[in-house]
Amino acid sequence: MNTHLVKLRSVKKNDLELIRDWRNDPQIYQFNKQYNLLNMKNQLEWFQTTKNTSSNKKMFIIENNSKPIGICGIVNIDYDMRFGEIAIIIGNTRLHKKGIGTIVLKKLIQYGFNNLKLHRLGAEIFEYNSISKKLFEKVNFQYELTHRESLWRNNRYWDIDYYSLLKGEQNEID
Amino acid sequence: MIDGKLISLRALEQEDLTKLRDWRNAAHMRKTAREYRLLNMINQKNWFESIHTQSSNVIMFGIIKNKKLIGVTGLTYIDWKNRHAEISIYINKKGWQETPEAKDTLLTIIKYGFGEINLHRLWAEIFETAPENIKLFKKMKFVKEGTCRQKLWRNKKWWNSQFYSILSNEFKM
Repeated sequence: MNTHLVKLRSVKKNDLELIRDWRNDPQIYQFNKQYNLLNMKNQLEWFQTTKNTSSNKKMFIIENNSKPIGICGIVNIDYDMRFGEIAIIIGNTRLHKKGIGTIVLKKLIQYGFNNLKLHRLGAEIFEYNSISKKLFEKVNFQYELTHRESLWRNNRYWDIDYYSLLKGEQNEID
Repeated sequence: MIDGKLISLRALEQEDLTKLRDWRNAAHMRKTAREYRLLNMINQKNWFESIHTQSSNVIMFGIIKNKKLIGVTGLTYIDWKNRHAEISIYINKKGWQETPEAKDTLLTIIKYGFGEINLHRLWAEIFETAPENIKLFKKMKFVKEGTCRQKLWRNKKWWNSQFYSILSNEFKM
């Protein structure tokens, strides 16, 4: 993977159909809390919320070689207490396991600490999402706790693990 | 009314809001709360309106003893799909965490959450600024899930928060 080809850019209105299709893919939504399927009305409303001045999320399209391949950002931002949560979707599932997640995550960490001046970044990871756990551990996120039986899916409860990175802890990663 | 052994719960009325504002602005209360602003009646009315909207995920009650309102409790961040909610409680008395009324209020709201609205997990995020609250939830057999590092800025430093939870099958009705 040529890391220079992976870039983040702002989300545009004509990305919304692509984002909708990514988010409706079971290979994607199995790893987030979404339980309904999304249409363009949902997408447009979501797009508007990202544009509000009071918006608590900063979203980006992930491009590889100038092609949109996913969406990422920092969500649930609390500007008073200066924390936010990382969200990453590599919509093009053929590009999974190629190291793109690591590149994107490092970019988001830089953006969160340097541009948004956050103090703490968090990540919620379902117990069965071992790939994400490895990814976040690789860039020095610390496991903090397990929300017991907090997700109902496929007829049973699952745990949700919580990871975090504090400003200053990211230095050793690159 | 929902009756506990020592206290009862009733719905909050608009007329209660002045009292609630004064309680929440008291120093001993602010120490335990996420809120860092002082609240006025506009905040109170907006909050009251918001909990009555259709998409509200909050259920609040007044705590009554001897016909007097002594505090507020309820469930917030209710997640109807995954069936969990945070427990909210305060009583307008210094050191309320040690009182039998606090224990009875928690028992009553836990019974309501599991027995009436069929939740699976009740949780609380407690900042380390409030060790009294941690003690109270431990006493009620909540299980510690872990510690979130440096989540609250107060008095010139960062404070951790601790998560506690109880599952429906861990609680005996």
